Amino acid sequence: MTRLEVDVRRRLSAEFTLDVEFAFTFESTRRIAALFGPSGCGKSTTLALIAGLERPDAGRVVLDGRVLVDVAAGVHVPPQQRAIGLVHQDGLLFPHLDVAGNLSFAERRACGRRVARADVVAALRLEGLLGRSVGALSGGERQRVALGRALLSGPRLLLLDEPISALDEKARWEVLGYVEEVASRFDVPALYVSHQRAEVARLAAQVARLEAGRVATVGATASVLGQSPEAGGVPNILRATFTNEGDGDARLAGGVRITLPVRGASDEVVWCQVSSGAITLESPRSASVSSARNRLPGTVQAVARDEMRVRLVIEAAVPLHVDVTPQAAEQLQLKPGSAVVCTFKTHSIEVLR
Amino acid sequence: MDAAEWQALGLSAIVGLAAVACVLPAAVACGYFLATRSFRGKTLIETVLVLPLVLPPVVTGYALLVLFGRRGPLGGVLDAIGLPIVFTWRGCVVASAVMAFPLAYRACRTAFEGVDRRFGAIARTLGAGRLDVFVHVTLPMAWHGLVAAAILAFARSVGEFGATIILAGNVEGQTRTLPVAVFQEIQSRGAEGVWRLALLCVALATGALVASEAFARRSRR
Repeated sequence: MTRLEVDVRRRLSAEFTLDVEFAFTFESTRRIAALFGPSGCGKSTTLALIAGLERPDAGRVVLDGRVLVDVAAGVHVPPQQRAIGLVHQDGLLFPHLDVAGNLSFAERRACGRRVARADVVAALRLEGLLGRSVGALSGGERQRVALGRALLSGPRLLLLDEPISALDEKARWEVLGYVEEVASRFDVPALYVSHQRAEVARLAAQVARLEAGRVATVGATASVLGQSPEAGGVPNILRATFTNEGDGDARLAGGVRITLPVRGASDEVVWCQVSSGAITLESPRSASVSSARNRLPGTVQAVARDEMRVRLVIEAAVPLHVDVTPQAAEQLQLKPGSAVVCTFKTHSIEVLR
Repeated sequence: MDAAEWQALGLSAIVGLAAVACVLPAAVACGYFLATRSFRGKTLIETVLVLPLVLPPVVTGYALLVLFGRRGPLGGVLDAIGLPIVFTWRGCVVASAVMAFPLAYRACRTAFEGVDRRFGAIARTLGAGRLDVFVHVTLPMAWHGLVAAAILAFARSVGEFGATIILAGNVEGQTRTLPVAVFQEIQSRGAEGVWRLALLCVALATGALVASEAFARRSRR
């Protein structure tokens, strides 16, 4: 278990002062947490303060009981002694070294717990890249090497600053898979920064949402993303496993069956996304005939209302966000504990691969 | 070319290399410091560092003569330990180094400004201290720009005349560098006999500028 406590203030301009306070406990079931919020809300500066690349005007950062910064007590552990790895969106691989040289740079200076180079190379499939110059790498390869380099520095915490934002769609989801894999395989907690709901929903178990330099909410991902005020739906990110060769039948965690709009190989795992606005709620008592292929029974967990929308969190084997109109919510008498059936069309599912 | 001309060329080459050796560490240090730091009075320091570029070289030479003369604050000490500067080849090196410094410093600063500082930040999160980052990240990434600075400093040293003649004089075989030899030729034999030496100076300067620009271009890539 790793605990990160952050309570820092830093004036960035006459109009903008970063003032954030949050704490995350990373466990084996939730190794990845996220800082989520729009561009310019202070996410990257918060990471720089945690890594020690910038100094706060006031406050403290504590990792596993070790005080990294305490302005009042005059403590500032330099970044090279913090054992906190950072992966930037541009990778920032050293251009004067090849891939192997970049890995060795980190390995030689590792100050935290050692990770075997061969394991990192195998986990991130870097074998074929070691002799390459960094200029010859694709965006996805570059981020894999950057991730491997950060791991070899022996970090107690990995900071991932929008690591896939410069990549194309296919590479994005591939690199996210690697992030998940290494966090679990090497048991390294990670703090993931992004303004993309889908990435946060897919990766993180807990989230702090930042708004204009302040923490607006902290908590479990489903609840924080559900409360997020932006217009548009919340992406529900689902992990599905194909059950049959050559058709779209798949099952979700908990064995619930769904039909995907693409074919896959038996036991192949895919990530897919359904917007909260694309899900229809029905009463379990109404036996409606519908073209929607996917019907997930569940229970209303939480209800949040605003003028034009009621956003519900439904526990339906997986937590689902669903947006309905206030009129529909009233007609179905939706409240915490209500039994409902969530339905959505196969073609409203976007498969992320 | 006659023996005296070869001698002048050889002396210029030695003086140029020695001046680069003296000037480069200082230019790298000042260039790095001013490329990466902001502080009050930075503009004043920058102005002082490039002053020899715009001062009349004879004025710089005069200032060096006051400093390194037998009764000067540095000259007395150096004379006492057997390293006189005035009217020696060391004087040529000092004058060339001082005149070449502004160009070398500016090229070094540009080279360091071209290195994205986020690389240094990432290196620190990977366990590197400040000196380690400088030696293993910043210097290698600025390398081509620093070589360009060295070549530029060499070319400037080889072409140096005004400050040299004041501080080191015109002693054949001792302080008669290429430009001083050109001056001497014109004084003694008129303009006709100078073309070989003049062409040599043009060729050296052109070659150095082409090489320096080639390295600077690689550094910007």
